[in-house]
Amino acid sequence: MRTPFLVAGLGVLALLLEGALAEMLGVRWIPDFGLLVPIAAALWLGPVEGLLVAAAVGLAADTLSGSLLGQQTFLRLLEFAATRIVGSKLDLRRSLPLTVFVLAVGLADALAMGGLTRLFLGELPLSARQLAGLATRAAISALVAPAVAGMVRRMVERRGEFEARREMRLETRRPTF
Amino acid sequence: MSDFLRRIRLPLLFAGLLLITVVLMVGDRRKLQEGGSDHSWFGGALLELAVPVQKAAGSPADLLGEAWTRYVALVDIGRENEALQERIAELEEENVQFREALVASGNLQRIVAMREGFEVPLMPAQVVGQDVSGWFQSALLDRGQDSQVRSGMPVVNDSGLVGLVTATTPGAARTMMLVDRRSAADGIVQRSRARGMVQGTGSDHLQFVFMVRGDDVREGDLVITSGVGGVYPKGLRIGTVTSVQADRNQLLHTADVRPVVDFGRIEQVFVMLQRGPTMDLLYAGDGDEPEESEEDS
Repeated sequence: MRTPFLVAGLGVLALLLEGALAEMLGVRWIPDFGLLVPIAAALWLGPVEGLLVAAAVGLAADTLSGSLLGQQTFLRLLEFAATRIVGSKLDLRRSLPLTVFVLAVGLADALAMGGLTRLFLGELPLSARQLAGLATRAAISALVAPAVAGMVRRMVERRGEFEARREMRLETRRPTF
Repeated sequence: MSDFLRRIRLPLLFAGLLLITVVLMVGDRRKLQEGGSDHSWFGGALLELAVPVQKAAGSPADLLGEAWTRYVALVDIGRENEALQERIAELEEENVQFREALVASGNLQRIVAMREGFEVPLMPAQVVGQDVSGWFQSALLDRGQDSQVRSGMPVVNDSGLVGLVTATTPGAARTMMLVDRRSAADGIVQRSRARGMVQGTGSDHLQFVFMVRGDDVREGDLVITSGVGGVYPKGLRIGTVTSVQADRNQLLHTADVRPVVDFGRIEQVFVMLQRGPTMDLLYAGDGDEPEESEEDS
């Protein structure tokens, strides 16, 4: 049960580092850990634990940024659900499908964030340069996604929960005499 | 029955969390419109935690930069330069104030009054982190309520106006930068006195919307705060006009303004420890009033 807390802690720590790195390099060159950790949690944690991790990381991102409280949390919850649904059809635990999926989700997240901002805060002037910046960030996040998912996987493995699940999966393949 | 409950537990939790986030958004939007911006215990604790972590994360780059300034680029020059830059910032702001008074009335007494009015204590603060979303332009400062920093106080640096403090905790403050799309300041063109609203666009430039047709706004004009609106004091430099879109059929003309502050490279800022009357009204009663100094009382 401690694993979700560790993963949520990792997510919050990553957000704090993201803020410091954004100060040095500019936000467009920094992976969106607030997006990557909930997706990794959806892949490697149980549904309830993963959902709570996504909510916690989203809330932390809302607090650390100028967005409305709940804005990024709302999107993280939807992205968590999308990952679970797509993950049941495709093997998102492999690097390439995960990279492509995160790229798509990253772009959708940027547009959804803009939509929510427009809905709640009024007019939203969006330049081509800004769109390019958001697309760059989605691409960088997609490239980093397998590493973040791997880190979460290792955390889960260390806590032993992964082993239990693997045994359950292996059991279905066991020959029955 | 228990099996049914187990099956709907996850969708129920998901729907419940989504509903909570919508309620939070609506509530936060209302709070934003009313001007209050208190953090929950969770938010406050996280911001408090963010300052040391982000400072530590940024320290290698800071150390490298400092080593270069202090040792490679001659010992003591860096330190002296820092002090001089601070002094230049003070003098430049004073200078703009004096020019303002001269242009506006030519009345020496008024200059003296403005000079006295501008003697607002400045609290130096370091920017330790920037907004983690790509949509908003805010920064985290390492000074908060313990340093008399309160929501609604203007933030400047040696170049000009940076933004406004929007939330504070004992040891940290969040600043909405002038380029944030929710940010706006009443401004005037220093040369022609054309007045309008400077709005953030979410990117590296600002938009100056001036209301009266025929106002004289040209490329290269300096736009400063007008003091109208009771948010920012008069005479803070905002930016220079880079292009003007003056359509004769439109009542509102717009101009692109390049901020004098390089928002991508802000490190040291100064919080003006006195907020305008509008901000005082907005934040009155939310427990975020500035403490009166001994001299005031």
